[in-house]
Amino acid sequence: MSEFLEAVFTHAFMRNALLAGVLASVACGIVGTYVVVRRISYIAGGIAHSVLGGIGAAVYLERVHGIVWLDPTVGALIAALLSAVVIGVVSLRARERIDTAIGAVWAIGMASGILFLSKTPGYGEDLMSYLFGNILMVRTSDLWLIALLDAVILASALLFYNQFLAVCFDEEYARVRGVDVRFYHLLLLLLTALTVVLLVSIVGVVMVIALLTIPAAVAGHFAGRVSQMMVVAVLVSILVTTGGLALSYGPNLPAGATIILLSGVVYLGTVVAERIVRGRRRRLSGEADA
Amino acid sequence: METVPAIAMDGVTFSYDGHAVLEDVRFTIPAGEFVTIVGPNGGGKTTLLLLALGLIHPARGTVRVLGTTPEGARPRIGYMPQYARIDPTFPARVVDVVLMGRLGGRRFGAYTPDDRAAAADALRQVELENHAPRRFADLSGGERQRVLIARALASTPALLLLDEPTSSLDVAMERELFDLLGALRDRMTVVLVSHDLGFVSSFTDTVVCVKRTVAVHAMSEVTGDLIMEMYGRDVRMVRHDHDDHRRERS
Repeated sequence: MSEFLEAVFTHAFMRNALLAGVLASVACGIVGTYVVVRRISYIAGGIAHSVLGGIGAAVYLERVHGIVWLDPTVGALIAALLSAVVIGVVSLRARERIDTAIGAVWAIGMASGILFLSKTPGYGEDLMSYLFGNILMVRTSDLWLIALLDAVILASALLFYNQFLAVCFDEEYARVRGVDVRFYHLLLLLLTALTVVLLVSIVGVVMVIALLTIPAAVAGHFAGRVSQMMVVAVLVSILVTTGGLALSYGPNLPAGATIILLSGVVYLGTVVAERIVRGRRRRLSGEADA
Repeated sequence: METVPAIAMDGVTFSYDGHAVLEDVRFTIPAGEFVTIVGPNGGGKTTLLLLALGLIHPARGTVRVLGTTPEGARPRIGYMPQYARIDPTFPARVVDVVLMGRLGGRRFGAYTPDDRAAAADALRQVELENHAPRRFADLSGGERQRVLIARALASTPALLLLDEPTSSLDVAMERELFDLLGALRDRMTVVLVSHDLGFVSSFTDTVVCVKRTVAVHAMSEVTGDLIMEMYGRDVRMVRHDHDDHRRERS
C-alpha cells in the first residue's frame, strides 16, 4: 500500500488514474442508479460492447487513412450514441424486438471492432486494453473530457430529476400526466452511452456493465430515495476504483479486473450483511412477540 | 357542464395480437356518476380504461372523454393503475410518489409549493398524512395502494379511474377505502374496475359489464338473475377466472 501512495506522489500517470476513477465515479453513480431502477442493464451492456466497433474504426481510419482528428475516444462516443439511438428507437417502436436489437448491436459492434483492429498494422495488441481497460494510460486531456461529460450528466440529472423518477417508477402513469416519456427514455439512453464511454477507459468494454450496476445495486440496499442512492453509489464507485487501483499496483495485477472483483466482493458483502441484520431483527421481534 | 358525458365510446373495436378484445363497444357514462366495471379476466376491463386514457387507440370507433379526446382530457383525469404493475421496492418516499401526480407537461424543474400542498391534501384524503417521509418500500400492500390513489387525487381530477383498488387490501383497509370512495363520489366522476361488485354496490350508480362486448345496467336493475345470465355465477362472488371463460367458449 505504501508503494501505491509513493507512486501517486511520484508518477503523474498514477495521479491521472486516481483522478479518472474519482471523476468517472460521479457519472457512474448517477447513471448507474437509473440503469438499476429502470432495469436496463442489458441495454447498457449492448451499448458498451458496441463501443469497440467505434474504437476500432477510429484507430483504423486514423492509422491507415491518416484522419488525425479521429481519436479512439471520438470513435467510442459516436458508436455509443448511435447504438443508444438504435436501441432506443426499437424499444419505442417494437418493444417485443428489443432483445434481438440489443443482441445484434452488441455482437456487430464487437465483430466490426475486431475486424478494424486486425487490419490496423501494429495495433492488434491494443485490443486487450480496449476490452479490459487500462486506467494507467489515461492522459490529462482524457481527464478534461471526463470532467466535461460529468458536468453534462450531473446537469441533466438535476434538471430532469422528477421526470426521470416518474418515468422509471411508472412509465404509463407518467404518460397520462403529460410527461414526454419517449424524450426522457431516449435522453436516459444517451446519458448511459456517455457514461459507458467514460468507463471504457477505466475497465474496458467487457466489464463496463459491472461498474455501472454494482455500486448502484450496493447503494440500493441502503437508500430510501433515488437521490440518496445516487450519492451512495458515487461513494461506493470511488471506493472500489481507488481501492482496486491500490490493490493492483503492488503485485502488478490488471487494474480493471481488480476493480471489478473488488466491487463484486463489496456487493456480496452487503447482501450477506443485510441477510444477517434482517435475520437478527426478525429473531429479536420474534422474541418480543413471545 | 353537466350535459357533457364523462366517457362516451361509439362503435369501439380493439384487438391485441389478432384477437378481438373489445368489439363494437358503445356506451355513455354521464358526468358525476359512480361506475363500476365488472367482467371476467381478459374480458377487456383494463383495456376499456386504457382506451379512455388514450394509452391505446381503437382500431375502429371513437372515444370521447370529458367532451374531448382522451389525450386532451388527461390533465383532468386521475388514474390508479393495477397495483401489480408497480415495483414495491422502488427507492422513493411516499411523498415523492404522490408528487408524481403533479408533474404535468413541464419539461424540467422542481415542484412548486402548490404542488406540495396538493400532495399533502391528497395524502390527508387517504389518511396517510403522517406517512409522507416514509419509504414506499416499507409500507404494507394496502398502504401502497392508498398511496397510488393519493397520487391519482393529487392532480385534482374531474374523472377518477381506478383499476382494481381493492386487490391487495386487508379487511380493515377495505373499510377505509369504502369510506374514501363514498366521499369522492360527491366530488367527481369515479370509474373503478373491480372483481367485487358486492363491495361497492351501495354507492354504484351504474354497472358496466365487459366481456368482449359491453352492457350497461343501472345498479338498481342489477339482480342475481342478470349476473347469473351473464356469468353463470352469483354477483357476490364475481371472481370470473379463466376457467368459466373457457367453458363458455367451448
